[in-house]
Amino acid sequence: MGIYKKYFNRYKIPFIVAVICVTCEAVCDLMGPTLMARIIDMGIEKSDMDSVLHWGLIMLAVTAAGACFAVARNILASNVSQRMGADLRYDLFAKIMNFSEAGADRIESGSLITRLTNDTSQVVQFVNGIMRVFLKAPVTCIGSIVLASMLNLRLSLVIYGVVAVVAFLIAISMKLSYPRFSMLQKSMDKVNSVVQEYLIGVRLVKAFGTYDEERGRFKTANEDLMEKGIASQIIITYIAPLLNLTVGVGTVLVIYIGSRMFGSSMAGTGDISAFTIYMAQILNALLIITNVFNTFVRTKASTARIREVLDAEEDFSHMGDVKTLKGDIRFEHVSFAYPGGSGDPVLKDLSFSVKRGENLAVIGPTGSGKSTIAWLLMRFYDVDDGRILLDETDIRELDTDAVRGNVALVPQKSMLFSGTVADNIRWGNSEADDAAVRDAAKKAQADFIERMPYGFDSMLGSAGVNISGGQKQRISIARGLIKAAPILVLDDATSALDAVTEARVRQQLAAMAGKHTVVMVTQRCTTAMFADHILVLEDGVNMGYGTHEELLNTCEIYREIYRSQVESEKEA
Amino acid sequence: MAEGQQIHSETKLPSMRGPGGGGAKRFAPGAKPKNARGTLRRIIKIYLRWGKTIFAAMLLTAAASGISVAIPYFVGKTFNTFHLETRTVDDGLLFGLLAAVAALYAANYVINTVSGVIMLKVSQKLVFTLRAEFFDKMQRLPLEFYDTRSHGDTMSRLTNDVDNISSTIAQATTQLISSLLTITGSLAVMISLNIPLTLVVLLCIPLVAALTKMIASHSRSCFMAQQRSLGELNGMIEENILGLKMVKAFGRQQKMVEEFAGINERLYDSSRKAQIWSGFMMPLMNVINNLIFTLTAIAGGVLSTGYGLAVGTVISFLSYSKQFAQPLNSVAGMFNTIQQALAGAERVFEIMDRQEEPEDVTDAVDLENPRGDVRFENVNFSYDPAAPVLRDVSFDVKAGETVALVGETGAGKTTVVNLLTRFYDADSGRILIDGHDIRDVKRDSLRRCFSVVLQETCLFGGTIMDNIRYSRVDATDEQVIAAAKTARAHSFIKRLPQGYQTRVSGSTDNLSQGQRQLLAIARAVLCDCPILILDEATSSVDTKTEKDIQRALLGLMKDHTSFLIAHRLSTIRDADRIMVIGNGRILESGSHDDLMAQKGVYYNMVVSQMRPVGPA
Repeated sequence: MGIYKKYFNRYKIPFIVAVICVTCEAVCDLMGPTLMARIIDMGIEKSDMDSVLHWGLIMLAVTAAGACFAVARNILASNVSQRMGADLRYDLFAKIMNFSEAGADRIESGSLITRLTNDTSQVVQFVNGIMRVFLKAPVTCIGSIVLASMLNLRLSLVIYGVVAVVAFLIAISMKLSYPRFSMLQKSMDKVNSVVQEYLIGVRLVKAFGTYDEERGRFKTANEDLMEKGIASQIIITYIAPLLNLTVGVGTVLVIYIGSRMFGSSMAGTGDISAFTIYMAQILNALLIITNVFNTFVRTKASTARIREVLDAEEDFSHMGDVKTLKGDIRFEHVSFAYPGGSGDPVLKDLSFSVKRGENLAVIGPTGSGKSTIAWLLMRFYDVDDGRILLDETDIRELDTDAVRGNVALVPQKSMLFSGTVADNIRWGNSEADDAAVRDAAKKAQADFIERMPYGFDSMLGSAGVNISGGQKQRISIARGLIKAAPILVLDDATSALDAVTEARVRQQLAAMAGKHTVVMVTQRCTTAMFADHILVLEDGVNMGYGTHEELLNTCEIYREIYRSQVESEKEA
Repeated sequence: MAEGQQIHSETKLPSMRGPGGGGAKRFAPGAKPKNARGTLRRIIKIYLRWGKTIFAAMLLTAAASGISVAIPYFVGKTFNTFHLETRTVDDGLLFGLLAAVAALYAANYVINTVSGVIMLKVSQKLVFTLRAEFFDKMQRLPLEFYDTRSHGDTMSRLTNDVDNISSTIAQATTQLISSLLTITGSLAVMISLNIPLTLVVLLCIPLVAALTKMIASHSRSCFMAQQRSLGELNGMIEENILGLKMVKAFGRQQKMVEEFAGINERLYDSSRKAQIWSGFMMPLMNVINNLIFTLTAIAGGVLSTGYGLAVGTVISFLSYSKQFAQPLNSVAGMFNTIQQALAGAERVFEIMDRQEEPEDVTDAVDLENPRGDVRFENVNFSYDPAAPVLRDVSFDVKAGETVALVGETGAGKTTVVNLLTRFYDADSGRILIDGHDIRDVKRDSLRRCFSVVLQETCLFGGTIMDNIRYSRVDATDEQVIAAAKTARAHSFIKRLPQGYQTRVSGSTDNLSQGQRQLLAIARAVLCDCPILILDEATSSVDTKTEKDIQRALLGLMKDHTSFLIAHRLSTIRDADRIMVIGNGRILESGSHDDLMAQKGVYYNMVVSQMRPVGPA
C-alpha cells in the first residue's frame, strides 16, 4: 500500500487517535457482559440491591465512556477518510491532466473515469472502515476470549472450540467463494456488454431483423449469469446456518458444563450467562472480520488500478525554451509508431517544411497518417526517429506548454465542454472580450449562435441544448481561430459542413494567410487545391509535395484522388 | 458511492449478514416510489408465478424466527434449575431444557439451510426471467425509445433495478417478516413473564424512534448536497478525461485542476458531514441498548430481591432486552430499503409498460421477391410536433435507380431513411414499396428489403467474420470474403494479425473509423437486398477507395434501388437522380447535369465547393 504512505503521514495523528478511540470503545463494549455477570452474581443472586445499583451505575458509566469514544472516532474517521479520499481524487485528476498521450492511450478513458470515482470511494470506505469497525472486530474477538478466560478458565475451553470451528468454516467458505465471485463478475460484464452493444446497434438489429440472434446471445449470457449467481452464493447459504448451529452447540455445552461446575462452586449463573453473550459477540466479530477480508480484497484491486494511474508516464517536461514562434515548420526524416499500437510505423522517413505564413494541405487515403502529423505538431508524442523543428528549434528543446500555446488545433472530432458557447470559444483565449468572441464566431460561419435562445450564453453539454455535428465543428473552429496562434492546424475540421458553408470558412482562412501558418488535413481535393503547397501522404510516406498544378503533372496518386472527386465517372 | 447514472456491475462479495438497517445508506435520500401500493401488487404478482416455492420459503423463515425467539426463553429457563441456596442443579429439568435448546438450534439449522437454498434458487430464477422479459420488451420497442433515452439509464434499469426487485425486496421482506416476528414474539414472551420488566424494555421504542428521527433530519440535507456535488464531479471528470487532448492542446490543465479542486472540496465537506451524522446511529443505539440493559437489571434486581421474581426470569429478560432494540432498528432501516427498491421496480415497470411497435395488421402482406420500387406520397413527419421535418414530400423511384439525397445537416435526409425502413411511421401520407403501403407489409418481410449502412457504424463483439455475417447468418466463409472484397475491406482485413478471425468490439478502437465503415458496407453487400441505403456510409473513407467501392457496388446494384446520402458532392454526382432537400421539402430533383444547368441550389453548392479562394 505504498501509495497511501503520503496520506498516512499527512493525517497520522487523527488517524492514530481514531484507532485508539476504536480500541477503547471495543474495551468498553467488552466490559458489558462482565459487568452484567457482576450484576447477576453479586447483586441479583445475592439479593443485594446496593450491588445491583453499584454495578449498574458502573455499567452506565462505561457505556457512556464507550459512546464518547465512538462519537469521537466517528468524527475523526469521517474527517480523515473523506479528506484522504478528496486528496486522492485531486492527485489522480491532476495526474491525469498531465498524462502523456502515450499514457492516456494505454488506459481506456472509461476505465480512467471509474478509477477516479468508484475505486477512490472503495478506498475511502476501507480507510473509514479501519477506523470504524475493522479494528474493533478483532479487538472484540480477542478481548471476548481473554475476558471469558479470566472469568472462568475451564468454561472458556468451550469457547476456544467454538471459535476454532467457526473460523475454520468461514475460512473454507471464503476460499471456495472467491473464485466463484470473480466468475460471477465476468458473467455480469458479459451481460452488460451484450446489452450495451444491442443499445448501440439497435438500428442495425431492426434493419436486419436479427431479433432471434440477439435473443439467443442475451439468453446465453443471462443463463450463465444465473448459474454463476447461484454458484457464488450457495456455499454461504450452506455455511451460514452451520455457524449458527455451532454457536448453539457451544451454548448448550457451556450451560451443561457450567451446571456441573456450579455444583462444585466453580461457576456462578452470572458467569454462565455472560459466556453465552460472549459467544454471540465472538460470532458477530468473526462475521465482521469476514467482511473486512472482503473489503480488503476489493480495495486491493482498486489500489492496483489507482496505482497504475499514479505510476503512468507524465507528459513531456515543461522545461525548455519559452518563446513566441513565428511559424516555420520542418519535419526531418520523421518516423513514428504509436506506443502501445501494433508497432507498425505510421509515418516513415517523412520530410517536408512549411514557411511562416504559408498554407499547407495534407491529403491522403484513410489511415495514411494525416492526423498523426497534427498530434506530433502539438507534441502529444515524440518522434521515434528524425526531428521536428519549429522556427529551426527542435520541438523537444522547447517548453511543451509554449509549443501548445503557439499551435491552435481544430480537431477531427470537435470536443466541446459544458458551459456557455462563449466559454467554449474562450478556451482559445480566456482574456478575449465579447467582441473578439463574436468576431471569431463570425469568421467560423457560426451565425447560428445568434439564433439560439440565449445566443452566446446558451449552455452546451449535458445541462444545455444539443447542437448538430456541423454546429459543433464551427464552434470548435472559432475556438481555434480566437487563439490567434502563429500555427493553425485544422484536422479535417470541416467534414460535417455542407459545401457552401465550408467554402465560406475556407475563404476566412485564406484571409489569414500571410500572418499565420495554416496546416489543413483534409479528404477533399477541393479544399486542398487552393493551398500554397500540398503534401500527399500514403501509408505514412511522402508521395508528393508541391502546388496543385505541379502535383497534377507529377503525382499519380494525387491525380487519382483529384479525378475521383472532381471528374465524373461518366465523363472519364 | 458513485451512484447516479453510473452503471453498477459490481458483485457483492459473500456476506453472511442480511441487509441490516445499520449502514449509513439508510439515511441517504432515495427516490420514493410514486405508487407504492400498485407497484407492490405487481411485484407480488410476479412472485406468485413461483407462488408455492416462495410461500414455502417465507413460511420457513417465519418458523425460523419463531425458533429464534424461543431459544433465549429456554436458555433463560435453564437458569431456573440452578438452586442458589443449595448450589445444586435440577438435573432432570436441566437436561430436558438443554435437549429442547439443542433441538431448536438443530431445527433452526435445517430450516435455514432449506429456506436459504430455495430462496437463492427462486430469486435467481426470478431475476433471470425478469431480465429475459425486459430484453424481449426492448426488442419490441420502437426506435423512438432508443433515440430519446440515454443508454446508461436503460442499462441500469436492466441490471440494478431488476436485481433489486428480486434480491433486495425478497431479502428485505423476509427480514422484515422475521424482525417483526421477533419483536412480537419477544414481546409476547416478555409480557407473559413479567409486565413491569416488559415496560422497562419497551422504553427503547421511543428512544430509538427519537434517535432515528434526529439523525435522519440532520443527515438528509447533507446526503442531498453530497449527491449533487457527486454528480457535478462525475460530469467534470468524464468531460475532461474524454476531452483530455483538447485540455492539453489549449493548455487548460491548471485551470481544470483548480476547478476540480473547488467541486472536490464541496464533495468532501458534504460527504464528511453526511457520514458523521449517520455514523452517530450505531454508537448511540449501543448506548440505548446498554441503558435499557442496565435499567432492566436494576428493575430486575429490585423485583427479585423485593418481590421474589425468579433469577432465571431476570436473565431471560436481560437477553430479550439485548435482542429487542436491534430488530427495531432494522425495521426502520428496511422500510427505507424496500422503498428504494420499489422505486427501482417502478423504473423497470415503466419500460415494461411502454407502447410497443404497432403489430402487423391482420391481413399484412408478405413481399415476395420485392423489386424495389419506392414511392413517397405527400409524406409529413416530425419528431417533435413543434418542428416539422418533412412537409408534404412526394417522390417516385423505379427499381434499379440510384438516388442521392443532399442538403444541409438537419434538412431531413436521414429522416427519409428512417421512414422508408419504418423505424418511424409517417404522421400523414403514404410510403409504398412495390405498390404496397409499408404499414400493410409484415415487418419481417419489409426488413428483408433493405441493406443499410448507417451514419454511425456499429460493430458487435465477435470476430470480423461474425460481424460481416451479421446481415446473413447462413452465409458461407467464401461469401463473406467475397463481400469484403467488394467493399474493399479485404485488403486491410488480410493485413490484420488474425485476419478474419480478429476480434472487434463496439468500444475498443483497434480499427479506424474508415475501416469500420468498410466492414459495415461489406455487411450490406452480403445481405444482397433489393434496396440499398448508404447514409454517409463512406464519410471517413478516402475518396479514392470510395470511388472503387461505388464502382463495385454499381455492378452489384444494377437491378437494385439505391439511396445515397452524403455531404461530399463528389460521392453523389454519378447518381441517376439527385434530390436536394431543404426546409423539409424537395427543392430540386434531377441528374447532376440537369441540376447544374438549372443553376439552382445544387449548382451553388457545387460551385462554392469548387470556387478558388485566396487573395487573388
